[in-house]
Amino acid sequence: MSRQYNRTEELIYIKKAQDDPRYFGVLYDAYHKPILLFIYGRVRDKETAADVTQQVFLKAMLNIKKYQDRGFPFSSWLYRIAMNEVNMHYREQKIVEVEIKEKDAATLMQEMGDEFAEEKIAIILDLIAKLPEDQNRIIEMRFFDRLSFQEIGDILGITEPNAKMRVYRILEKLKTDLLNLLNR
Amino acid sequence: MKKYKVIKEKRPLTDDEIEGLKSFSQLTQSYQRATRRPEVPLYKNKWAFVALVIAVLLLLLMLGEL
Repeated sequence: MSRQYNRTEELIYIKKAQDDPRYFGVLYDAYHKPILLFIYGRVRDKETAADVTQQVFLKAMLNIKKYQDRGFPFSSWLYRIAMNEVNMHYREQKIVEVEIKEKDAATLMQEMGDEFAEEKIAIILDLIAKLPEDQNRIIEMRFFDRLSFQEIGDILGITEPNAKMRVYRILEKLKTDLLNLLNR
Repeated sequence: MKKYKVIKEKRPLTDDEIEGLKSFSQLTQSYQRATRRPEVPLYKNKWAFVALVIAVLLLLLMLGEL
């Protein structure tokens, strides 16, 4: 079973892992589950999720010496690696099909001031897929990975209000684009 | 190209499944494979080559003195 550590303990284990990779096991144990579930939400099956997760931890283990504490949780560093690895995994495929839960799609529509409707969500998802990568990532993190603004901020290295502002700006843009499409 | 597909609900992973997908020993093996120094043949090893040249020079010097 994994256990959570407080920030001071975590920094001690990070320091130990930087000196001796065998101590990385403690960090692996603590973060394997959240990272695996995060990746499972983005890939098709559990086997792929497990492979990508191992790749994430291998990258983290190989680069732990470069890790610097900038006041963000260690998990935000791991999530950043995880997102890059998921993107790398998808880059190898020509068409990427990402599964979105109906519940999450409904939440997204609600945030946009609308009710869930299959035809509308198909258009919105199409618009999201066409967003620039950084904006697409933010929307995915917020609505499909259900991360808090604080977590998004930690991953992107920005403040919580800044993360919130970015999400709502993108939603506004999506709303405008949707209206333009519907009024054509 | 990215495409989204709306699904009802993805089957959640059980704790047993998550534990089954966890393997620090496998990760350690991958780490060791990734960090293992490639075996360089002696003639391609810079330091071994330098040491060999020095040894030959010393031998020649010693032979010259005899």
